[in-house]
Amino acid sequence: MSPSSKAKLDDLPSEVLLRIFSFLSIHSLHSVSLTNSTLNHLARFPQLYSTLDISRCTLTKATLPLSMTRSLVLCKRFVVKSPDSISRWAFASILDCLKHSTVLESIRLTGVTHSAEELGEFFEQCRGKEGLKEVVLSRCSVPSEAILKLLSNHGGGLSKLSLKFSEVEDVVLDKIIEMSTYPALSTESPSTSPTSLKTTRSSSCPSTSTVSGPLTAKSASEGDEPEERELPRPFLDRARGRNNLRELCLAGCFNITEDGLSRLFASRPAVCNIQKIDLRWNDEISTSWFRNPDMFPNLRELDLRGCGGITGQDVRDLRRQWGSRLLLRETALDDESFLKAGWKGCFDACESNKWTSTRLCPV
Amino acid sequence: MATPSTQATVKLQSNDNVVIEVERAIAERSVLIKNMLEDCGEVTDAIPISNVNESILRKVIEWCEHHKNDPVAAENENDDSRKKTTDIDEWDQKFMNVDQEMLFEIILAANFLDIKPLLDTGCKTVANMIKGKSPEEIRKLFNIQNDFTPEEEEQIRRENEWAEDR
Repeated sequence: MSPSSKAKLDDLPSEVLLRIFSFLSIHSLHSVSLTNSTLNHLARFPQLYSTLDISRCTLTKATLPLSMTRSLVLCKRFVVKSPDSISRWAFASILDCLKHSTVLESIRLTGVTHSAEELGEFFEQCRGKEGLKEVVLSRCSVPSEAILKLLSNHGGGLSKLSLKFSEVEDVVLDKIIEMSTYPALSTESPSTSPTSLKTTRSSSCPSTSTVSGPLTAKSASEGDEPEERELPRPFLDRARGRNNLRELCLAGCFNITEDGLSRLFASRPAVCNIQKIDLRWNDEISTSWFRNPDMFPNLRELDLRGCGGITGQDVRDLRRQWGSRLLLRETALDDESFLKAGWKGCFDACESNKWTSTRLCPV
Repeated sequence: MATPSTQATVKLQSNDNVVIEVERAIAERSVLIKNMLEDCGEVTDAIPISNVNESILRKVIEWCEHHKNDPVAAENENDDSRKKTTDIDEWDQKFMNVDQEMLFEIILAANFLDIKPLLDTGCKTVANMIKGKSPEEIRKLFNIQNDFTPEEEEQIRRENEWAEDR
């Protein structure tokens, strides 16, 4: 493709140029901005920043642009991965702008370790984002209190929650159960529902009444048809009222307990919509929670790789009960599967998951 | 009795007055033509495609023929999945390996005829050409006139310092 004398990029109509630009990262958009005034004007079009991935940006007090405030208000998907060059100050300012976004759908943060406190504050303050569907907090050291606030404010609307390599205390798991068992249309005050959260919620904060209204109204129009047939009425109402959770990732969490997990997976309202569960690298897992497929009418994928407590026999049992309905990922080995796989198989299984487990060595 | 959708072929007329007959199913990859046929029922006359010349029209039809069995993407397709990737399949890459003027004309034709997947393929091709290039390289590649004063350029550079790739 050689440059031709007639073809000029800036002669293309604006809507086509914007479509081209929608495939560019902010770094490329920056280069385009510097080419000429027409393209500069278009490359600043706020809609192009509806997915804002600032992973490789350099953001400090000195460089944070004012124009970013405008973009952030329209930001739908906010992505940050291992932000070595984003100062704590800049990140706090970004979160401050992001609070005002009314269209935010997804937050994916990986390795944002310097701003646990700011994130906690952010989740406490950003309410009324009914559109927020996806929260991924991987290696962000966000404290349990902040996650609890997130769940009280947005819990029912979330369809994906990932707390990979985060601290997940039992109160968080209990909160997931609690938010799914609120009676949907009840005006009952939060204090009468069993809660482990009362201590973390300030008494002046009317979060339940403000949040449940819009969510209830929305879920009535978005009810899931398949469940309608499968679930008894009371479950259905509750599930629609508070719980849209489809995907839950608790891989490599710390402070997680077997007790907390067994309560969560024994709560039908909490798990009835879930399609995918990722529990990698947890030793506190028991396959007995998943023995009954009727408890998990929508579960399609279960990831148990690197879970030390699981034997080959457990896995065979699970497969027998679920058949092909469930995609089960596992690395469990016991005497029998060890004989089949041999040392090399065991070693590969270990290597591929960067995980060593006592179960792998039958000797 | 009116039997819609029985018409096997339609005639398309380019702006240089060449009439090309194509299978109706292929022509209907274009939402513009599809809607037109739905509205008008049987169309025996050639449909004038006023913005597109013969060589581009043939090229677009070639694309539609290759992709005639693709599932028609749902309207309001998830923006996410569209945006995630700038990957282009091998056949499309070869198809788009034309000089720049033709590439732009294909994009314009796809825009006019409302063939979203072809438009996206074209736009991705251009986006991939822009990726990783400096402003000066982009100007050169696409024949863009720099109309900034040095001061303006410096100001934009300063404003966007944060977005510079490391």
